[in-house]
Amino acid sequence: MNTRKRNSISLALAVGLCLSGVAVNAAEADFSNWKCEKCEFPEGAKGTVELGGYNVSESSARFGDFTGLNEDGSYALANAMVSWWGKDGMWFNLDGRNLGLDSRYLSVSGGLRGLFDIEVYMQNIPRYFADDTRSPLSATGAGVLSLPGDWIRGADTGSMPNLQSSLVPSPLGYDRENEGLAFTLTPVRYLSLDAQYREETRNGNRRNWGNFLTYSTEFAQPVAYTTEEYTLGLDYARDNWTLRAEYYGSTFESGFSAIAWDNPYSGPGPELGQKAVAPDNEFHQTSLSGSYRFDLWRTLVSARIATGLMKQTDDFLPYSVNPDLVSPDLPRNHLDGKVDTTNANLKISTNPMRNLRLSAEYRTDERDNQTPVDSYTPIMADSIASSETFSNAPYSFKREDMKLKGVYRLSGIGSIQAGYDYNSFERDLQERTETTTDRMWATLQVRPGNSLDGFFTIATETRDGTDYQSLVNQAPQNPLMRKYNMADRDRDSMRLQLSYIPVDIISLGLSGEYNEDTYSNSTLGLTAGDYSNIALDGSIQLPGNSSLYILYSHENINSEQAGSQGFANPNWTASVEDVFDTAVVGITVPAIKDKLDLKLDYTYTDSSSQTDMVYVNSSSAYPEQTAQMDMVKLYADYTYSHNLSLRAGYWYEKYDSADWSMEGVNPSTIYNVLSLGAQPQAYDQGVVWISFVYEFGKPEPEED
Amino acid sequence: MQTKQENTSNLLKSTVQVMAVLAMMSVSFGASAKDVKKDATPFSRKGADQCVMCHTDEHIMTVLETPHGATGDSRAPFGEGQAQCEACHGPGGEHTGRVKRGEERPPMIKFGSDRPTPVPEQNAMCLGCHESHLGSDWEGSPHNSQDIACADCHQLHVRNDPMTVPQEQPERCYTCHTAQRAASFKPFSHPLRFEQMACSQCHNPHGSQADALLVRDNTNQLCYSCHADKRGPFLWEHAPVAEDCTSCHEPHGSVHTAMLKKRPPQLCQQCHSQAGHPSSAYTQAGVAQGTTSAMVMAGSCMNCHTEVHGSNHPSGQALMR
Repeated sequence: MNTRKRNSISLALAVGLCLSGVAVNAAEADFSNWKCEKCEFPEGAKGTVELGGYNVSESSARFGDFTGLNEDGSYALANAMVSWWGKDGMWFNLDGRNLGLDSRYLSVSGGLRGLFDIEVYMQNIPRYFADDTRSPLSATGAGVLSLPGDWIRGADTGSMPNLQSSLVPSPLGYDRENEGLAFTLTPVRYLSLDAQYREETRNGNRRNWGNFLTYSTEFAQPVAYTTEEYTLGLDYARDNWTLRAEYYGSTFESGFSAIAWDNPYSGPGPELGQKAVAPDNEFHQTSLSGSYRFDLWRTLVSARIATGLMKQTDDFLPYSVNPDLVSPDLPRNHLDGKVDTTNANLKISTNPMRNLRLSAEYRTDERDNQTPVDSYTPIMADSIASSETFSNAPYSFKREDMKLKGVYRLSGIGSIQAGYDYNSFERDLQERTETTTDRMWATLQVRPGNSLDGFFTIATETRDGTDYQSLVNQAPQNPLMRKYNMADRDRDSMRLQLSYIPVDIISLGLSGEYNEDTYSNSTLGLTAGDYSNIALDGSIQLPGNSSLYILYSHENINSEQAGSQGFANPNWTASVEDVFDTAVVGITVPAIKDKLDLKLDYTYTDSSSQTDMVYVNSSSAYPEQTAQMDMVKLYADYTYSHNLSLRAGYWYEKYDSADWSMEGVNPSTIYNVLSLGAQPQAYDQGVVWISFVYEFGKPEPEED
Repeated sequence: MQTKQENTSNLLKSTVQVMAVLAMMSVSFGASAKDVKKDATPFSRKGADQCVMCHTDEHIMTVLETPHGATGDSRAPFGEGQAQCEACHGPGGEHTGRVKRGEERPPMIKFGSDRPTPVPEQNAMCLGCHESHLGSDWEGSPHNSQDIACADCHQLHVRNDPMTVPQEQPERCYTCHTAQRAASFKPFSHPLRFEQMACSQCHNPHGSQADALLVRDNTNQLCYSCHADKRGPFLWEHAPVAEDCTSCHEPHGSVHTAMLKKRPPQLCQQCHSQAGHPSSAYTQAGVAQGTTSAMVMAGSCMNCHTEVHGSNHPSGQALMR
């Protein structure tokens, strides 16, 4: 798990450096005769090994997505956790999970405390998107999808005589295999080195489409991605200052140079189409960061600068593989794409008064696209040679942020916080060259004792910018359109979080959030949106060491947009409402003291999305898109002896969904889209498992 | 001249002493270990051997199985010549001393925001050793400003702190971030609930130099860590994609496929109003019960404009190749 390493490495580093900034003479304390003779320092190995099996009641791609339990039948259950301690700080850890499944994870780590740590890990993430998909196209070569030899092309999907007989299962999914290495070395007190490497491969296929003008074919596009990431870091830290130099690199290889597919339609287009895949690319970034703490008001100044280069030089494909059309010469053989990135940050935090902290921060984030601009004469969808040329538009932007923040601690009862944020966003080759955003916020924290803790934050934000302009070399937008990522916007938000412990055994929580966006100067495009969420949770310790946990959450997302059919004033609007409800109940019961523990988790989720439209004063509503899930997990853990236990469980999960974009759409349903025919997913799944857990390195209990 | 080992050992000792004094002060932002010179609370006479006479819970001893319990590390609390339990819980001379009948035993430092020890004081104990990597980003970060105690997230008397175990970490974060817990159950979400991903793969809870505590400089650089196929640069760029993945995607989960904020065609029509099909009113008449329009069904806009993240094909200016 790639970035996880960054934090664990940092933690190791912190332990390694252990700088407190303390200048007090500690020689007065002498702990040399503290032997801790009653301490049971670990030595040798301890751990657990779990072996057993699962039985899955039905096959389901969705249920198997991420879990690896996609087929009905039996699976091996294998987990292992092993720790070993040697003398003088040597240690070793093994963490293996789901080793009998495609969702397996294995981490092996070790080292010498205070000097070095090393970890090697692997993780497989199985992705199953659909198993009911069918297509007449099948992979016949690297990135080549072919129709059967007896295929007879048709004018539309209803006119392909061999379609039904040619459909073969074409499941969608791939394996994400991760392998990595993380290493930290602290050779001397002030210095630490860290290195991380990760490789991820994705092999399988994903859903995509290929079209010839307005006739499209959905297919399982082969995927053979390889991504590598590597980080090298050097930290140096003294009492009052720190310094870190880092190199980060990432490379991507797509595995194929192109995707070619047979055209099932008799027209338009040639017999074969070809499209580009994600190009091989790389990113390199070096950064230098540091901090210095002044004695005056305990002021901390920190800064970071990072410069990076994104690079992409994949060879271009020809304009078309249509043998009936002459592909013009390309202006270059590959893009020679280059993007310089600059990220810089300067932050000052100071404490001029005992209870007051002030901080100021400046950030810049620049994407400077140095890709050369050329004129291209495309052949549209392998079908029509363009009579005009198009120039690529390398996109650059520069974002600058300034943040001011004050926190005043109210002794014993909480704090008041307030801040002002300013953002400037300059964009290249866009309808607006610059937008600016002002945001003010305030937070009241209440913590009058240990039993109540609450925050309430309100914020107001305004975004505006320069005048709109039309873009050259692109199909003209309706001049009333305001793109939502750069449109004038007023945003008001509030957030509340409360936790309350009325008595030691009860804990209650309440959180809520509300955001409201108004795009008052947008005639077309997104015109308004709001988000609300409320969550209640609580836990109680019941007699006999039992416990109960509950959570209920309700979320609502609304948006309004306007359009203009006819390239004039708005004549249609669409409103979308998404609702998501979640309820979770968890109960833990030690049914027989020191022998049998039971645990029950129940989760219910209900999501829906409703799109309503008004077109020329006529209202209409899309069918509701829904998904419901009921999940029950029952765990039983029976202790047979001091080092052997039996675990068993039952996992019931029911999922049902309705999706108007897929429902009833078979390969020939849409006359100009030969679809894979994926249907909304549903399952009614039961999984049982049983396992034996052997715990080693655990001493036998002393008899009374 | 002190040896390197002595030097580090002394630092930890110093921290313990100073923090003990800090415990008696009204803790504030301005309070510094350096401000404290003398009058430290005395340590216990025998260290951990005295502690375990009363504190007999099994989990107490588990700390010895953690990095803090490493005897071979001279900087760890149980390293040679270190203050053992009192390295974190503060000097226990008064706590372990005689107490008059009816009087409460003087408290040690206890960890967790629901404990009586003020959070800044608790965290100061941790930062005494761990500040070197947290210092610049932690101070003023959201969790710091909200007085989240280190121990609210980290557990030190267990063999493996759940915050450092990716499969177990989200449960700790969800304790406060209940909306994110709920979002993890959305029909389309990152695989946190399947223990295939940890919150810290995207967020650094100790502070960051990017928005939302992201671990990389901006949203896209973060997303490209796993989704490098979207990085380009492409010949034909889709500017909002290069600018911010979250313009279209909701990373904590969505009711829409691919974690989209809404579905096409409405999603695309929030920005595209060119003459012709981009600006047409696509009503429910286009669904399967009606005309079964390619403009709304199956991939909708993506039935043809398949390369919405950018295209490197010379004929891909409309993102169709």
